[in-house]
Amino acid sequence: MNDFYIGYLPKAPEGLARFLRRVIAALGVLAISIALLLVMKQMRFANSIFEYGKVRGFEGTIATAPYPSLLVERPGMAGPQSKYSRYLLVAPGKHGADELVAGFDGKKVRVQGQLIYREGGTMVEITPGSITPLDTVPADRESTRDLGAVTVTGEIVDSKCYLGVMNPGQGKVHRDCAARCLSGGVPPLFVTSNGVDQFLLVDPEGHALGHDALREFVAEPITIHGELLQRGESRLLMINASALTHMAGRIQKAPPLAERHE
Amino acid sequence: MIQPLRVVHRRAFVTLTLVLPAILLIGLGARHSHSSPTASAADVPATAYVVRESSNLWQRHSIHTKFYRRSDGSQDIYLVLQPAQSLNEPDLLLYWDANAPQGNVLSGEAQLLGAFSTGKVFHLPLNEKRAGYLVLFSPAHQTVLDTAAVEKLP
Repeated sequence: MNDFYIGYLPKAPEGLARFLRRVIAALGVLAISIALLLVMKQMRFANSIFEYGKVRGFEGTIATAPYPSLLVERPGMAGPQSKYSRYLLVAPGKHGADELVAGFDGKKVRVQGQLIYREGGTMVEITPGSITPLDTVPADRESTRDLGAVTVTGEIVDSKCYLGVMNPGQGKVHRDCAARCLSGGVPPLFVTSNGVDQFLLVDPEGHALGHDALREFVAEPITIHGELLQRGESRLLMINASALTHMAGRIQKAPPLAERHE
Repeated sequence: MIQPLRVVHRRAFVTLTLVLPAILLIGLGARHSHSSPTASAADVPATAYVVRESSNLWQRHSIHTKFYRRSDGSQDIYLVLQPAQSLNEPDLLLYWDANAPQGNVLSGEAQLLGAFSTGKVFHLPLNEKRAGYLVLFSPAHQTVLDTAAVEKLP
């Protein structure tokens, strides 16, 4: 390795050239190995679906609170099971469906929209103007059962993206989108860190949370304490959004600019 | 001057060749995982025992199906389903029916067992024959996803 490379000579010294050939070959193998490793170690996409462009018709009873939903009667004999499936309703884009369903609360309707679904959660993106009232008996109000206080760790997501419109629809990479969706009125969902449980987040009175109430905490690991309610097969977690805090080690809220200049 | 510098550069590059991939691998290993729901039959009564199990019961999907019975003499049968692959259908419901469904239409006697979930425990409302059909039905798609004929249970 005492060969000396001189750029203006037509050939590099033989020993140095041999060494470089080996290094380049080794680096090539290493690069391919790393690329394969990266591909294989990627997290798998969630098994979530947005039936974009596939408009279907649904019949059910509109419930506007806490978040717009369609109660769809289940066929067959329900027995002790809930007689209704609850499909969350949203508007196109990053918008909740509050305006679209206003005036239809408790009414049986036919609605058109596109399905969004993931792991038992079902949502419909309503086609604006497609809600038609029906002259049939609406669904009974579902009873609500208090399941007691719980402390859970997981992530606040916007339900529309999480259930299928975006993939991934959770985590840091999706944080900006989730914040915009929640600001637009898409219902907030809490997903536990083991991925098993999903809770719709509501305020301590069981009403919808303010659109910007959770923006600061979305898409980061968080532990929250609240009162759990069961309504049909949906579970609602009543939380005090103003009492939420970031978990230790997470980025803290920056002070106002004026303070920083002082 | 040039030779010592080349020695330093060579050592630096060899070191970086080892250190940088190591950092990458450590970073990959330290990532938070987004878990999918996992199967668990934790809600089966502690005194229950398996009376039948099969992975070939369903017509279109591989779903490991276990039937449990309580050891306290009760005739109640419980059921746990573990699909080999995730069944991603909107609003997927499990029914128990004395008759097989006709196409995508459930019979009027179909009894709802509940919203399907992997590993969830369902109670079977058995009739006198103690046999019938399990049906996975999606009201949102208006389709029968799959059907399993269940022979007489003990």
